[in-house]
Amino acid sequence: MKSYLITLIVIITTALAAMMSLAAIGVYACLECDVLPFQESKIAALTPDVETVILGDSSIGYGLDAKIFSELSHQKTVSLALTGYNYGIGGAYVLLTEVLSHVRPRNVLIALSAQTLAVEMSKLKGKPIRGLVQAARRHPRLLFTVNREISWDVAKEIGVEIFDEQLLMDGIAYVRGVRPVIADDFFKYDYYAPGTDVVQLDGSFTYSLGAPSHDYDVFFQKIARLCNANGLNCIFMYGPLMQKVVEHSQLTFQMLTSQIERAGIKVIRQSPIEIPDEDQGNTINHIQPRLRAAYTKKAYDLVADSLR
Amino acid sequence: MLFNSVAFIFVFLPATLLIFFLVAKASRVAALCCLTVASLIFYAQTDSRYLLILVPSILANYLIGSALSGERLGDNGRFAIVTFGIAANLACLFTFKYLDLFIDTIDRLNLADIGLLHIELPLGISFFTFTQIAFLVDAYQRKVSEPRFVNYALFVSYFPHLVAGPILHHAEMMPQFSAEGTFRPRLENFAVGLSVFFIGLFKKVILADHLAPHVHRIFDAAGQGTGLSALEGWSGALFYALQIYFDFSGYSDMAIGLSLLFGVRLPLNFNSPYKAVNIIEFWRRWHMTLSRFLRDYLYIPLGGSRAGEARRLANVMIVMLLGGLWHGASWTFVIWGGLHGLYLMVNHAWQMLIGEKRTRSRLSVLAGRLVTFLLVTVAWVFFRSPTLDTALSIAKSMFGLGALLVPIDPASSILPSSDVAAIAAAAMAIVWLMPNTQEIMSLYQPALNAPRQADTGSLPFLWRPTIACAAIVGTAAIASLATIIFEKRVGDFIYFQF
Repeated sequence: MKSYLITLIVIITTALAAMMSLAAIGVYACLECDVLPFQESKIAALTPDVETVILGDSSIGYGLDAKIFSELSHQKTVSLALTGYNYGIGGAYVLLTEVLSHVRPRNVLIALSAQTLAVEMSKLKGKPIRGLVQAARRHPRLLFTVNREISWDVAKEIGVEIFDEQLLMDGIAYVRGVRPVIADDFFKYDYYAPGTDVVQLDGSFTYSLGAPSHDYDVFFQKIARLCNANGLNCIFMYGPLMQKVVEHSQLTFQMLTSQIERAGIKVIRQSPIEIPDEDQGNTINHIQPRLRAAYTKKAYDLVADSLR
Repeated sequence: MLFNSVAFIFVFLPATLLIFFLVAKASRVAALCCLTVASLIFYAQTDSRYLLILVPSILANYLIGSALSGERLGDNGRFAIVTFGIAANLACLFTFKYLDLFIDTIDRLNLADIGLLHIELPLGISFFTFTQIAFLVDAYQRKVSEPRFVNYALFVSYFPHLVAGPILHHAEMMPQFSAEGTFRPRLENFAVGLSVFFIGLFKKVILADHLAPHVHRIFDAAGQGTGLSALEGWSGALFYALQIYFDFSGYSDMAIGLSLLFGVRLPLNFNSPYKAVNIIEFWRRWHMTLSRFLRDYLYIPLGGSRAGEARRLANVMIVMLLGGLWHGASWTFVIWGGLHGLYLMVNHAWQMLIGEKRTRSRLSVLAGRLVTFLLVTVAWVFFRSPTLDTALSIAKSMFGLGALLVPIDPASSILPSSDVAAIAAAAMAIVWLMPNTQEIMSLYQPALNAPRQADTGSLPFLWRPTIACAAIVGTAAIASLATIIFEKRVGDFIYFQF
């Protein structure tokens, strides 16, 4: 009976451990991570002549063309924009760490929508933590060195992910040789392919963003420390935002600016680039794709004096 | 809490086992207390408010049972007490389970206009009520007595049987709760108990739960007025026959396996019912402890077969109608019970006509099994359907009344996918061709009242504590656990709703 029980328990625990390991490999494989592997591939290909790195969310991913910015600034510029709710400032922190393991740019421009920073992490159903785990899967140390709350949330997220069926399948696929496929659109647009439709807001939409969350302060502090330690010129600007929201959210920007600057990062202007109705894209912080060059110029004009 | 949930398998069960055996080293009474508290915690996980019904019910029945066991009351007093006890239990069951049906029926008959009370059905109320009624009757008949409150509370609330049976007899459980061997962990009990548990888990998670979505689609479509073809109707009914078989069989195995981990053998509740060659035999194999309860506490007190054949057949019908109603507060359950009552009456009448043959040809056995299975399957349609209209719609389609034989457009039909059909075919083969869990485990007799295997050598599979058996059981366990953990597929047991 003893050997039977031992065999049974060994079979079950080994198989479950193997499945959990495969799911962990699935996390590492990141087969469904879309923009993240694309930006990581750009980091891997960075050369020492890169002078400006842009980190941020979709407001800048769609709103800024790195080639045009390079021409305007006469500095080789790379945009590494991810998305807001899924990665946000946490993703920017991880990508900056990864950039610094390859090159030392002079300028780091962080551009996030105030909308992203106004929502508490707990209200985003674990998205920022999931994104952080994805982004930092090659640097697991980063996951547990932010602060205790983030470490706990990360541990819980990993606890969920190692029992996730899709990640188990991804892990099996990765072991079989499947690798993330980066869609051609990413190379074409240097980001997701933009949509041309216009956001429709219902009557219940409140244009005021409300009080900003403090959940992200720790990431700004981490970035500021990295910038200081590596002698980088790190600056922050708000991503473009619907004009009406900007008009109704001045207090939010004031508080956010104060938080970011307290963390040690210079904020270029206390208010985002406004998107008038005729320029509005498919969300309140996206512009129409045809206006990318014009908004790149606006962004450049805003930060030009602050670039080294 | 469900037996097939991660919290139960990986947290509740190991913790309860560990605490029970550790405490048992110091004190048996304390160990029984721990097991009782664990059972109440298990019960409260679904909804802690249910404890407000279970705990007073245990207390009241214990006090009534104690009064019945004592010597102070005369015969009339004891009769009054047991009558009160049974009536109180039935009143409680009626209030929580049948009052809304009663009100609804009155409203529909335009006898009064009373709004439904929407009373929530406490988990397992039918089971613990019947268990306690049996105890009161046995105590009244001086077959049992229980002076120890903790033992009684554990007998009723013991988590392996609490929410879906088996319905226990005090006499078969109490000696085990007192036996010295119960309080010592035994490797044999762990090996056999875990194996039976994992076999049950496999039946539930891999077989029953994979058949459930197709059943749901068919009954849902019929409920929404979609006209089904005969093929679709039969697929729904047959799949449900298999789903409920593996759901209940799986649950029963898991309950027996879990209990054996604590050194306690539960009575057999399920013995390959679809291998029955007639409906009388079916009821000796399906939900055996309910059949036993209905026989001992309803059929025999009604007169059983002692008052002539006509009365016997009438008693059978009464028992089956009430047995149907026991399953749920809906007229569809009464019709299901009535159908089985009718089958049993015909079966008894047939046996009266031709006599009960002891020897049967292989062909007659096959024909008997097939006819019994089909009759049971037709009756399941009423058991599963939420409304009478749904049941009639499916039944009509099955018998080709106003329905096509096959769907006109296969693309828009509600037929099972090929992989689900393959699972159903495998399930059917297991039902008819494989030995059941008790037969496989017959060398170790994990359940009480299991029929003795005359010739274990004739069985194709016989469990022994070998590496090969560990590999087979381990594979079944991994398949089930992986489904629970990774697919997050944790389906309720059908019998939990009763």
